[in-house]
Amino acid sequence: MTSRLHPALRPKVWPFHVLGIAAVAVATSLGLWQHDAWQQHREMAAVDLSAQEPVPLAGVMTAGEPFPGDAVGLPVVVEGTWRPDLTLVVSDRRRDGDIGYWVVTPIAVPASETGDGDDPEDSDPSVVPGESGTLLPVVRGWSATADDLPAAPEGAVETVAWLQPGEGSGATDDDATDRVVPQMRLADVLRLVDGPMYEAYGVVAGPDAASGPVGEDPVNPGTDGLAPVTPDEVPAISASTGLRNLLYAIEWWVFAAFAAFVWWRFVKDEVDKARQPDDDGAPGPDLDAPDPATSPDPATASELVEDRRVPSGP
Amino acid sequence: MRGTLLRYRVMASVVGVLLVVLILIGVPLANFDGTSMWGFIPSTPSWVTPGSGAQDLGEAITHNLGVAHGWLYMIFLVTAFLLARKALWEPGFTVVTLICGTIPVLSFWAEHRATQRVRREFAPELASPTTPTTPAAPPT
Repeated sequence: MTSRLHPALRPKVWPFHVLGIAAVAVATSLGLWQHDAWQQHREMAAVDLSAQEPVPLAGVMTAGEPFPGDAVGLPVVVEGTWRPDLTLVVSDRRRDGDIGYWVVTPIAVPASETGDGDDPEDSDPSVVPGESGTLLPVVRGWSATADDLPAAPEGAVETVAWLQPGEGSGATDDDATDRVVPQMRLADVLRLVDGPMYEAYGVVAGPDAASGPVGEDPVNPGTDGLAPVTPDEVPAISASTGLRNLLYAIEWWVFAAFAAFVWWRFVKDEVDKARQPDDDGAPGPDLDAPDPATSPDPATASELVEDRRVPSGP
Repeated sequence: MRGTLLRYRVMASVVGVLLVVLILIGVPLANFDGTSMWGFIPSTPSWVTPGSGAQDLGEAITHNLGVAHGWLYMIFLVTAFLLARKALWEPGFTVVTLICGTIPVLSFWAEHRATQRVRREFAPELASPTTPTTPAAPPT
């Protein structure tokens, strides 16, 4: 007897344990990560935040940050400057059975409002406020036609908008030269506005919403001549994205199980090898210990392979 | 041994090609537009115009091939592990073969290396498939 240690615990087997634990832990946590993403998608689809008290945009998300999963439909106060020159329309939008367009004008949110803290431009009076800020595309309303749109608003603005993540319906922009996009996909919008942009868009909250307008005006600005868009007219987040996360989660867990099996197989090999020379001597008391992890299994992988050899010949 | 080796080689080739399409074509087309990627990679080179046909192709590849590749990879791992058991590979060689199968381009090298080894060590059996003549084969 060279060692009193159980063969599965001898230093020679330690690398297997380290690799096995690492592989199982990594695969399991990646599966949990995907599972969380799936759950978050389901929660996003289920919760209606549109009637909550509006909060400042800077408190919800900052420029360059991914869309916060718990903020879909949340009313936010947006302060900045309209960019009428960047107005665009989104086609194929339904309202009461009619197909029309969303009219979108970005609001440039100055650095002081983006949550980035102190920006030198903020204190410089020579800089036109807002012109250089981060853009938040804002859906001002719905129109039956893309021609003859009411003039886009100009100047400083403070409004309440329902925050939305970008869409990804798979529709492609067949004419990249006009200012019409087939869906509110932020990559398409970014190409048209060509400037720093939030990974989100807003829908101007209607006058009858509990979130209500801001300030003295009875309605949120920018909606003149357009029909209001309500949160339930916003296309639902693609269910397939969530399903994909769930499939990935299951894949990772199957992988974790496979890694655990390989680990166990290697350790079992080592245990069997270590016991072989001991057989001619006095068998240790632990030799036939009923350890389920190391007990002989008649249907081991190698034997299964042996069986397959017969039909594999031509 | 022939069947086991063939199954492994088919799966290694399928997974190897899909891995190249997915990682070296799909992911750059879908994500390399100068913005952040996957939430933890702060920036990417601006190679692709956002919203362009190239990016749509990239997203189609990553979305559809991503999940499918994961499951094919499971099958590959099983075939590779069965071959490892049958060919009596030591754990180190087995783990390197399994892990290299996950790395684009390197997967082809791992497949070649594994196939060469099996062909070298089991040459008689592979040459005359009707009568397995492995020294380890038990007389039935």
